Formats: sequence, structure tokens, C-alpha cells
Amino acid sequence: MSDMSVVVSNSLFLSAVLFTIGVLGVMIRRHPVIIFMCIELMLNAANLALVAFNDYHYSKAWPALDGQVYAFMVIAIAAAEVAVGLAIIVALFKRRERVDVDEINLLRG
Amino acid sequence: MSIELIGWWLMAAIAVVSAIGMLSARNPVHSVLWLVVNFTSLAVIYLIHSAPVLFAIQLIVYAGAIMVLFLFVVMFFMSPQARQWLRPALKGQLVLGGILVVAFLLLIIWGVGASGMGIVFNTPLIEGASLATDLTAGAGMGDPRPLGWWLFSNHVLPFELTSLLLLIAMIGALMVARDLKSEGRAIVPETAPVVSDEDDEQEVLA
Amino acid sequence: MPQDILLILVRGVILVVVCLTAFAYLTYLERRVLSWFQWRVGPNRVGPWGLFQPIADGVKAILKQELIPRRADKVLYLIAPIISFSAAFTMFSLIPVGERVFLTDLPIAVLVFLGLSSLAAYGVILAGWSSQNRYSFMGALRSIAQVISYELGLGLALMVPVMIVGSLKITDIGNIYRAETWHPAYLFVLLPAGVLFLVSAMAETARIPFDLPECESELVTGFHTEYSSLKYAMFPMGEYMGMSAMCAIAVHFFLGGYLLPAIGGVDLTNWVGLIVGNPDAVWGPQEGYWTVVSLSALGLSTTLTFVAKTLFLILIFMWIRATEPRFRYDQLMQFGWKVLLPAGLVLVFLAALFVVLMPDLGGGAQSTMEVSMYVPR
Repeated sequence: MSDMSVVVSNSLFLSAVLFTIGVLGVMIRRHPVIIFMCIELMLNAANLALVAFNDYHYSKAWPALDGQVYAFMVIAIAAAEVAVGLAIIVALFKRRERVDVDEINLLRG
Repeated sequence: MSIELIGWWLMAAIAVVSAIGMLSARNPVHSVLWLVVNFTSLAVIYLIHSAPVLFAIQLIVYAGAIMVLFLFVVMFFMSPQARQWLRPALKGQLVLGGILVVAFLLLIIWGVGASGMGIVFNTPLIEGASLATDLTAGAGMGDPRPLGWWLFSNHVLPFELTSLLLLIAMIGALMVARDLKSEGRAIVPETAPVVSDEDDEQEVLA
Repeated sequence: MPQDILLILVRGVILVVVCLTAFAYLTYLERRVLSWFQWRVGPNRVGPWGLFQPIADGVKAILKQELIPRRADKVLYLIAPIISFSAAFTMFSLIPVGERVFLTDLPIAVLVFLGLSSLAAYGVILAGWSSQNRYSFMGALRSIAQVISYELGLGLALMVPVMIVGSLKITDIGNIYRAETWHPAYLFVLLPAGVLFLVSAMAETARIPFDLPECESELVTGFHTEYSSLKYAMFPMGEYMGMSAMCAIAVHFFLGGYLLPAIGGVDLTNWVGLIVGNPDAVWGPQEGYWTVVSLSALGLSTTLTFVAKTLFLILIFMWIRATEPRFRYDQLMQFGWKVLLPAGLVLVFLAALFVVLMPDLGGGAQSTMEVSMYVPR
């Protein structure tokens, strides 16, 4: 049993723990920015699992790097998501003093 | 224990501590910084998993660009004195959330264990063939070219679509964050020709 | 393995010592150069020609009283100078300084360099925010916007040589400039890309036409207004190290790195390399001792070339500081987004055209890997 395969299985559990912390944050926090950051944490936990799977399934016979490519795409899409999400939050801050996800229930400002 | 394993445990500890720190910090700026620490430690774990390009991209995009944007918004719009967003909206939300989350975590771990992955994953599929040894045997540790080949051969279409998505997101963000009411006196000065400025003034005067 | 680690440690210590000395004498050089531009004398009292002035400055900075504002966010206030200082030093560890003289030569050095240059901004941002001072805070906000905007120009400019060579390794980049692979047509993209890089680097390190985060006529001294003593001194240290690292990268990407100039199609590096770097070819098989001597001669000559080129770029930075007035903030943003970014995109497009039209480019860096192994199923 080599050290690297220990790292792979450990990374899966680390990914689970980080994802759970992100879920907890979405459940107990009310500020949109903090919730948004927790979503980013969950995305990163998923990325970690993808990279770990890639490391495990790589072989000479089939040198696939799909896991890393997916993680790459996730990062790119997360960048787009953050740009739009933060723009919405900025628009909210401009319209009202107090921002609370429980009070945002209208589609128009 | 090899250097990789020691490094992994160190980074994993930092990642968990910083994730909890992000959640429990009272000051939103501290939250953002804890998340930066978390993303940096994840970047090092990617490096341990022989994903050097993702290590660099994580540093540039996540730690360097996305979190700086978060920091900008938090510094600009959130008062560090405001505490009301820390209080849960419902009674017992914290306790209930904690219980549900622990249940969720146990579910995932049980799932991994029940599928036998926890055990299978301790032995490589093909003995001696791993990403790390392969890359080191090639053009040296951390060669970015394999990922490039894979990305631009098998995944060209998703890659190009991602660029389109980024463009759309950029335009969308501009439109959403634009302040329609104070358009005339925007912070960014007008680049429109002088004639239209005069028009605006006349409208205001009228 | 232990010898390897020891070797890395020794090289690291040498790097730090050299960098700190270089920083001290860069401040001296900048003061002398500025005074020369401004028709005055400059520091000339401590030691011969004022050469001990940096030491006096250092002692003074250390002995000053250390003040921490009461309302400051203590932890971040203390971490901020460390971040900006250590990020700049780490950048230096990525850069080779001579033929076979380097601390690391990573295959993804360019990406790591870009990542570090964006992480260095956290030092400035946190310093400004944690001081709880309006002026410092304005400096921090300006720094965020400026760094995000000019990073794009920086990255796009670096991508031009990277695309031509087909490698992210810094020592491979120099291969464009070797006499046998150089093509005059490269100048059409490399020259504008070099200018673009230098301008973006100036903004990224907040040098004078772009020093809005510290702008003393509007913000006292901006983000480090509340800092004193050694903690204050660490910001200029980070700034100078960052500037030198940017210049060093610019030398590698746009001025031929540590290669000696090629005269009339004869590459002096190869020439020196033939005589002193490859003694076996000239004098027949040599013993180990002579190989060491000749290799160090090659390393020394290339290192000196590299230092001279870097110093030349640093002097250009100082020249610009002495002659150019500061941008207004909106001009800064417009320049970054409406001039540099489109220019960078056009250059990357042109470089892509080069790669398509002239497939055998860049000193054969692409062909060093077993490509067939990675072709998909």
C-alpha cells in the first residue's frame, strides 16, 4: 500500500468534510456574501474529489486527465458565477441598507 | 511516511481549520481571508495529486482574482460592526443545522465505505502506474503539456463554450450592477462625445 | 536526498542575502538617480560617495519607535507587511539568473509567477484595511481595483512569448533568442508585448505613474500611513523586490534572458559555451575539476549579463519615475481596460497567427516530449 493511494482515499474524505462545512454555512448564515462563499467552498470540495479520482484512475494504458479538465472547467464557470453573483449582491446593497436572504423574496428591486 | 503524506496531512488540517474559521469569523473580512487560506491549502493538495496546472490556476483565479472581488465587495458594502446577520432567523436553527449536517457527513462517509471504495482505493488499479511517476519520467515533475493535450483534443468544445459563457457573464454582471438612477453622474467618467453631455445637462435643467 | 535539501537550503540563503543587499543598494541607486535627474546632490555623506547610506537607513528604521494604532486589526496589521515582503521574495526564487544557475526551474513557472504577483496584492489590501484609517482604506480599495485591472495586461503580454515557444518554463523562453532559432519577424509581436508588459508591471508594482495606492498628495502615504519602524521598511522592500522580479521576468521574456548578445549571427553564448562551457570539445576529455571551473565561468558570465540587463530595465523604471506625472484615477482605469487589454488581446491573436503559419518555432521545446503518449483514444 503506497503512500499516494492513502492520499487519494484521504482526499475523498477531506472533500466530504469540506463540502459538509459548506452546507452548514448555507444553512445557518443569512448574509448573501457569506452564503456565496460557502457555495464556493462546496465547489472546491467537489474539485478536490475530481482531482483525487483522476490521480487514482490514471494509468499508462489509458492516460486520461478528464478529472483535471472537469476541475478546470468548474473553476472557469465559478469565475463567471462569482461575477454575476457579486453583481447581483452589489445591486441589492445599492437598493437597500440591510441585506438579508430572508427578506429578498421579490424578483424586482 | 513520505513527504507527500506529511504535506497532505498538514494541508488537510489547514483546510479544515480555515473552513471552520471562515464560518465562525465575526468579521466578514476575516471570513474572506480564511477562505483564501483554504483555497491556497487546496492548491497545494492539487500539487500533491500531480495536478500542477490546477495548482497554479487555483492560485491565480481563486486566490488571486475571485477572492479579491469578494474582498472588494465586503470592504465596500459590509460594516464590520453589523452583527444582525450572525443571528439565526429561526429558533434552534444552529442546533438543527448542526444535526442535519453531521447526518449528511455520516451519510457520505457511509456511502464511500459501503461502496467498498475506501478499501479499493488503498490499492492502485495497475501496480506501479501512477500519475506522479509518469509525469516525472516524462519531461520532469509538473509538466503542463499532458493537460493541455487532453484539454484541447477531447474537450475543445466545452472549452470554447466556457469562453462564451465568460463573455456573457461579464456583460450580464455589467448590466446588473449598473446604477440606472445615477447613470448621468457615474463614477466612471463618460466617454461619450461632448454633445451628449450637454444634452444631459439640458435635461436636468429642464 | 539530504545533500539535495542542503544544496537547496544553501542556494536559498544565498538568494535571500543577495536580494537583501540588492534591495539596500537599489534604494541608494534610486536616490542618486533621482537626485541626478533633479539637478541636486543626493545622499553623499555616509561613507565614500554615500555608499553606507543604506546601512544608516536600515539602522534608523530598526531603532524607530514602533506604533500600532489602537483600533487596528492587530493580527492582519502584523501579517500584511510579511505577505507583501515574502511574496516578492518567493517570486525571485522562480527566476533563473544564469546558465545552470537557478534555485528552481519549474515547468509552470510563468503561472506560479502570475499567481504570486496577484497574491502580493493582499499585503497592500490588508495593510490599508487593518489600519482603520480612511486614507489607508482608500489606498487599499484603489490597490484592489488597480491590481485586478492590470493583471490582465501582464498575463496577456507574457502569453505572447509563451505561445511562440510552447513552454511555460522560463529557461525554455530564452530559446527564442538563440541565434539559430531567432527570426526577425518575431519583433512585430515581441516588441509591443514587451512594452505592454513593462507598463502593466509598473502598474502592478504601483510604481510612480501608477502609484495611486500611496499617492502622497491625496492619501498621505496611502496604505502604509499607519506603519512605522521595521514594519514600514518591509513595504518598500517588497516593492523593490517586486519591481526587480518584474524586470528580471521581462529580461527573460523580452530581452533574451541571460544569453550574451549575438553579433552578426554568431551567438556569443554558444561561443563562450564552446570554449569554457564545453571544455571536452575544445581540449579533449577533461577531469572533473576543470569541468567545474569552466561551468562556473559560463555561469558567471551569463549571470553577469543577466544582472546587467535587469539593472538596465530598473534604471528605465527609475527614469520614468523621475519624469512622468501621476495618472488620475479614472485615467488609470480607462488606460487599463480600454487600451492595454485590447492591445494584449490583439497581440495574443497575432502570436497565434505566428504559431499557425510558422510551425517549427521556438527552439524545438515542443518536441522534447513524447507526444504520442498523450494523444487521446
